[in-house]
Amino acid sequence: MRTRRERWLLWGLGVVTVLSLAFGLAQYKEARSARLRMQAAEQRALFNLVSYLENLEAGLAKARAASSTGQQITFLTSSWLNCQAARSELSLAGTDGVDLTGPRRFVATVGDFALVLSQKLARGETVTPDEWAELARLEEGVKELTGILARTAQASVGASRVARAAFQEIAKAFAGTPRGARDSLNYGFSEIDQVTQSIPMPVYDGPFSEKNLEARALARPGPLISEEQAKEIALGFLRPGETFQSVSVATIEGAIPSYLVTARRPDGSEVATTVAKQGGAVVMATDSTPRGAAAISLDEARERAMEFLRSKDFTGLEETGWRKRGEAANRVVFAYVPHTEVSTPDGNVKVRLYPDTVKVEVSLDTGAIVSFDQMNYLVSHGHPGRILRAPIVSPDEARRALKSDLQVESSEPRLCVIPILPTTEVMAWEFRVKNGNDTYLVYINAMTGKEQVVLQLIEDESGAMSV
Amino acid sequence: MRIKAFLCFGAAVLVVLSTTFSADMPRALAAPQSWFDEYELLARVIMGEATGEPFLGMVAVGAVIINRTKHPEFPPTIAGVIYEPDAFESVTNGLIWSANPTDEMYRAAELALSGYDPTYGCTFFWNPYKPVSPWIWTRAIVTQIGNHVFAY
Repeated sequence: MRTRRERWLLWGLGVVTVLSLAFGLAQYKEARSARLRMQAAEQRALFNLVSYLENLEAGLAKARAASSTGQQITFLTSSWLNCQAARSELSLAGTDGVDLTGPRRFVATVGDFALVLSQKLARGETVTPDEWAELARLEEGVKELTGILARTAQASVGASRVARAAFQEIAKAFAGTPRGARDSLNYGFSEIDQVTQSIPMPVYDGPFSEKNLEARALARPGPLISEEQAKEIALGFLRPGETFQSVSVATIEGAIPSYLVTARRPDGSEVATTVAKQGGAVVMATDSTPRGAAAISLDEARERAMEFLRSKDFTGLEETGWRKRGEAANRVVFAYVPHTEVSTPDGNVKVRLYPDTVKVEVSLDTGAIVSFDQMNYLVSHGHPGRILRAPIVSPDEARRALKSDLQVESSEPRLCVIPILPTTEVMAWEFRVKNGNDTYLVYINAMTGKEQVVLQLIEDESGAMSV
Repeated sequence: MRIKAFLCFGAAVLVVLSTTFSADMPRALAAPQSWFDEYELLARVIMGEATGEPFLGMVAVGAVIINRTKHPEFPPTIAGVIYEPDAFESVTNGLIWSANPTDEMYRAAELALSGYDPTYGCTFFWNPYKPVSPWIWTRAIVTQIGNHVFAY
């Protein structure tokens, strides 16, 4: 005969057992569901990847076969879009430690090359027979890649089905991505990695071409400075005269060997200044001090920024845009560009140098400068490779290249140098135009008279910038 | 006695149900809404990867993510880079949704998005004081900021 206490214990034990079982079952179902969702997402990515690559292959083939420039541009642009989509799916297809560097680079480069060719055609330039041949060679690579991945997708699904059937009979408690499917995937991806590594990349001028991926060096390197000199330059730059709790110096290697001087305050905030070893120019600087509510106007901040630039011997810089920052909009960053002159039959003409942008950030609480960045200026301004010639196209000829229904706002177009790629820039006439309520900057190539770039101007209470 | 047993069983069911739903609730509440943009996402990864690092180290982590979007070996968008499987531990373990970024982290994300890059184009970073894949040491190290080294 069980006592009352024993009966309670048995009940308690029963409840705990039920709870544990129920909890375990719920956790198992959730984990299984999560694994299946992940497997489904990976398979979807793989099948999408195959579809995008098939579309890419067809797009490249049609571009080569099309006779009209408009059709060629359409197929080349759609090829680029399929490459972009394939790049995204490639990162989600799910592999166990297989290096996909080769396939990623290959797909990105094919898209980049297709886009460069379509842009050439759009500007009225000719795609050379060699470039078409390069495209055909890349198309063969895409075909090979697609074939391997299509077989991989089939194998992974087949292995998945077989493995799951066997698995279900043995132990339902271990549902997950079957090993066979995973092995098929990894084998397929290893195969495409080897294939893409064996395909030579085209020699061309696009964002992903070798020369444009390399970090750029100083345009005008000076004599080497010492660590002590760098420290002195850094401490006298953003907060001259301030005493810090500690100062440390690290080095930055790469295209612009630099010293990174970090000056810390007792409250933990710091001023970090990067100084180029060759010549001692400050590349960039920030002050991490938390800032208070805005107390000065935009114009006062603008004046503080100009004062700062003048104190650093920058002359002739023109403001080209500004943007408020921070949730409380208590900081504002201004962008400036320098200018130079070119001689024309009508006299010297001022040229804005957009690649040489300098940025200054001002805190709107006290007007303090809180960040400075002249990396672009240092790698572009005065570069020996920049040779500016007088424009061939006159302002009136450039105006005639504009779309006829645009309303030109500026009385005279502005001559400027605009960046096309990190290593490529062109001289262009800049027109500020309106189309309905929208404002644009249209750039007409000053050498060819063709429309080069169209930017939309976004102007509101938080800033004025182009996109 | 039957009532007590019923109550115990009911409690067990409630516990199981609450466990099942509570696993999803924080994710649902913390998931990105339509007004969240890449700036928010970047600030959250900076929080996940660079909490405790100096301000410049936070900017540098943001810059690495931006640099990856411009490199052919990585996805072309910030979200693509951040959500790439196993790319960032703080995304994999959900740390990026465990708290809200500080003002300093948001500012670091703003600077990185505007092109401020103290790493000069690096696409990798790691903590050399923690166990990492030996492969990562084959990359060319450019600098160390705080507890992270940055490499091409």
